[in-house]
Formats: sequence, structure tokens, C-alpha cells
Amino acid sequence: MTRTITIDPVTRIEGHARITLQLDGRGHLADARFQVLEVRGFEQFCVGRPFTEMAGLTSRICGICPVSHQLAAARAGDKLLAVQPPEAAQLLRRLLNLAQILQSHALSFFYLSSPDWLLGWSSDPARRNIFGLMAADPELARGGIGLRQFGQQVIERLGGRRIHQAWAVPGGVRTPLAPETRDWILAQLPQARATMARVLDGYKRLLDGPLRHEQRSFGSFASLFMALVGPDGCWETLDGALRLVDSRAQVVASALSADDYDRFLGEVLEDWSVLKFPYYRPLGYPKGLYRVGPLARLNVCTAIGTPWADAELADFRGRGGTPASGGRIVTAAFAYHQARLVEIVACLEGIEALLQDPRILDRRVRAHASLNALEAVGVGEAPRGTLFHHYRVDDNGLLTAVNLIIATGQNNLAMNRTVAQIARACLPWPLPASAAIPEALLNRVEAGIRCYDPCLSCSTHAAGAMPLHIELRDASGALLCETVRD
Amino acid sequence: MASADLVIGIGNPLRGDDGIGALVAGQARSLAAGAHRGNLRVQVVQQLTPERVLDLQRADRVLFVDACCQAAAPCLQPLAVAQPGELALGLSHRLEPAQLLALTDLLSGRAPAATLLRLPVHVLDHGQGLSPMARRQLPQARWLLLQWMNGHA
Repeated sequence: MTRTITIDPVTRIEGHARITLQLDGRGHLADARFQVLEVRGFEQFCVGRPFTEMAGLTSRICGICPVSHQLAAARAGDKLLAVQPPEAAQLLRRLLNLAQILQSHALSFFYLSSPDWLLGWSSDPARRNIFGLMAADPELARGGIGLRQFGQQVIERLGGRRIHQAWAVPGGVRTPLAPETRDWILAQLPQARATMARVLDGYKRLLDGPLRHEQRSFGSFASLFMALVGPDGCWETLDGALRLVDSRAQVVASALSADDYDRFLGEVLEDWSVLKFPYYRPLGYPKGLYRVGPLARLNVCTAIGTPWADAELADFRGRGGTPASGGRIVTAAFAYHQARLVEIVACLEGIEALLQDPRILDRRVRAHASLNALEAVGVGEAPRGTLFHHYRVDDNGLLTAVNLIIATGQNNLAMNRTVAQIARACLPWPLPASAAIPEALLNRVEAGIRCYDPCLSCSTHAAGAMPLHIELRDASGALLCETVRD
Repeated sequence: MASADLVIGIGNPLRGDDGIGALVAGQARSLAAGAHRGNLRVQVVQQLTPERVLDLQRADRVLFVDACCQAAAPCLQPLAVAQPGELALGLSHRLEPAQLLALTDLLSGRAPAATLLRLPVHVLDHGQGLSPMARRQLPQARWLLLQWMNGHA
């Protein structure tokens, strides 16, 4: 008889999902599925709206990464207008994106994931949250809260509000940067840097000790990685071209334009999840599995380009780089967490560099034009990975087709692979027919998903409750046991 | 020395009456400006997140203003810090006022004196603007707000 384990809902992620572990007749794992069950239809109801509204409309897809949607929409709008935003606007958009990545990574690392390893995989689930973290390590909690607030305050001071703003628009941004805002942000940076120094020091001690095994093997498998890179191959969050590398550090494709994404990315819809499964088209489905996000960005780039972040990148590769890649590529999903910390450092250094550039205070921040193109793709690196907005419009600028390819969707195949890999490694196979699954083991499976920090609001464009559900099913599909947490 | 007061309006102005907390908090801002009350800060949020702890740490008194489906009329309600059994949460970044007070207490060893101004709501559909029934509550809500601002509640 076969069994299926279901984790439903998956907790401490942005959205409602279920994990199903399907067993074969001998009690071994046959399949693992990360199932997303919500649908919102953003791509449909945006049709008919003016493209100029998309930055404001799509920023409401998500309360965590509204800036990413806003920027991708604005960049698609630039192309429809066929304008180059003024230099100051380009710098300001970049500043906004760095603040967004910083605050989102702080949320993922401190609020959602760190309770697993600071409180222990087998700690009481009721305590594995921000409250438990505050009780266990108030200094770390305070630092994490401060970093997230800093990122949000930068966003608020630039765009007038923390979430759902519409400051970036086709052609640029709505308002220039005031010198006093620049000075305020610069004044906050020393504290943020000091916090990060402490956090990195503490986290590396964990990586040297109790997390050493996780950093190398938790959710580790060969895959492709995709991200934007600058002209010199450096870490990039907004401009540049797409590059894919494999787990042996070979460049599979480079200088790819987002405009041609349909040539190299395909999308498959399975009947058991509403979340699409993008894949690298030349390798076919599902062999064309690729990963995006902080781990991918650090694997793809040649360097970050700022001194502290480059030192942290070297440390990251030194700890997790696989021998097959000459230590260059990190394949464990668990390393997403350290990658987020490295990127927070990169954001802090990037913000400082941008604010020290006098061009950022230029008052001309928006280029105006009429509609000059009928199709465009806007791309950017969101906190969770590469984000594409593809629009087609009619002669009046009204949208006739919208396709949003979201980072979480692009990691969908990888999340399924991760769940299977962790379940195989952590659960006691073969599972006795009536055995209850220990909470600590289920939490590890769940934590495999949290490595990717999936945002289901974005990826399905869905709204609603955000809990976790794990199911165990036999070969006939009958439910054998389940765990539900709100 | 005047106490450091904080008003936090909670709600989504794009969901009908849910925006009443933000609207009343906005009135607090006007009232404070008119009375030269520099000790009062006003914030409007769609949901409470842990970062608000850093604001509560600097406050002696805090008033949360929020829509409430169960309330029959506007009312002020003293708020206690959430107890350990009330702290479990899955999302970790959407909190109730009592949970935010508990976080503040955990982090700094004290929480400000807290009050909740509960405002009855009737229509929570998509769209801006209050329903006529919610609008009728505004004078009473404003009076209660003033009571709190003047230290009578």
C-alpha cells in the first residue's frame, strides 16, 4: 500500500500552499509536490486598462514586493513610449530597488526563517516565530527589525508610502530626490552596517557549527541558475542582460535580452497547481529546471562590485562552493539564507554609492512621449528573482495581453525538487504504514520551501490567508495523515 | 513634560469602511497640528508589522484606531499586552495590537499604555469612501479621539 504525506498550509511563507508527499507501495517516496491552490487573475483583469496604470495596478499584487512590480511595469512602459528615462531617474529607480531587496530579505531572514535554526528544528512550532526569536536573541531580533524598517523608510521617503506606491512611472519617476532625504538616508547607513556586521558574524558562527551540514547539503542538487548581470558580468538588479550558468560554473547562455524571453523560457501548467512551471526551453520540460533569486544572482555574477559585499561573496563561495564547479557555484537551497545576507550588504553599499553620486539630485526625472511601440517586456531583479512584465497594447495604449513571469514561479520546479530531496534525506524511509511523521522532520521539509522565500501573492497574484498543510497519501491517492498549521 | 503619544490608524482605504481607521487617524493629525501638540505622532498602516515596535518603544501612550465588525458603536477599550498563549502566529508579519504590545514588551522591557478605538463598520467591499452608516459614526469617533488626546481616557 502506498501513502501520501501532505503539509498544508506551509507556514511562514507569503501565501497559502500545500506540500504532498506521495509514497509507493513499499513506503518509499515516489513524488513530492508543492501545490499552490489560489488564483487571482491579475493578467486577465489588467487587459483593457491603459499601460500607464500598470505600475500602480501591479504594485498592488503584493504587500512585500510592490516595488518590484512597479519597476518592471515602469520599464515596460519606457519601451512602449520608446524613451530613455533621465539619468537621475535611473539612479533613483535603482536606489528604490535596493531598498526593496534589503527590506524583503530582512523579512525573510529574520522574521520567517531564522526561528528554525535559532530555536531549533524540533522546537515548539508555537514558539518558532518572531516572538520566539525575540525571547531567544533580542539583539538579533532588534537588528532585523531595524534593517527592515530602514528599507521601508527609504521606500517611503522616496515614493511617499511604504507599500503600493506608484512613484516609478513610464519615463522615469514622479519626483526628484530632496537633498535632505539623501542626507537622512546616508545618516542611517552606519547603524545598518553595524547591524549587518554583527548579524554576519553570528550567522557565520552557526555555519561553522550546527548549520555546517545544512549549508552544503540541505536542498542541494545540480541545476541551472539565471539572473541579470551588468556588462562586466557583475551583480545587477535592474539593467543589464540575462545569463544562465550551470552547476559546473559553465555559462550556458549569456547576453540574453528579456525582450526575447519567449525564445528561451517556456511555461507549463500542471493540473495539480495553479502556479506555472517555467523552464529553460532549450533543455525542455522538466529538464530545463533553473533557479532564480539571491542564490542564483550570486552564482551567476562574476563579482558584486563593492568591497564588503565582494568579501562576503568570497566567504559564501568558500563555504558552499561545490568541488565540481571549482568552488564557484553553491547548489544547496539552504545557502539562499546566507545569499540574502550578502545581498543586504550589497544593497547597503549600493545605496551609499548611489547617494554619493551628485547626479541623483538632478531635478529632471521624467521623460515624456506618446505611445511609440505596441509590445514591450520590462524586467528587473525582485528580491526573490527575475521578474518579467510582458505587455501588448492597441493603438490607444490599452492593454490587449499581459504576461507576468514571477520569481517564485521560476523556482517552482526547484522547490518541488527541494522538497523531494529533503524528504528523502530527513524522513525515516520506508515509512511504516501507520507512522505519524515527527514534527521536526515535517518542519525541515517545510523549511526547504522557505529557503526560496516563495511569494504566492506574487506568483499566483492571489490574496488571502497564508498558512501550511502537509499530506501523506498512499499510491491510490488515499489520505493517510496530514498536518495543518495556521 | 508632555507624554509621547502615538496614534496608529489601521485599515485599507480601498476596502470601503475598512478605511475608517486611517480617516480618523488623519483627524488626529489635524487636531494635533491645530492644538500645537508636537508630542503626538500619527501613523497610518494597512496592517501592523513588527517594525512598529521601534515606534512603540518611543511612546508613552498609544491609540490604535481600527475598524471592527463586532462593534455596535465607537468605543475606547484599554488594551493589555498579549499573553504567551496568544502569541502563536504563522505569518510573523501581520499582528494584532496586543501582539505588537507584547513584542515591544519583549524587546524593551516595557510597553506603552495602550487603548483601542473600535469603530463599527458595515461595508468592506472594494472601493473608496465610507458607507453612510460608517460616516454617521465619525462625530462620536472624533469625540472619543479628543478624550484620549486630552488624557481623559
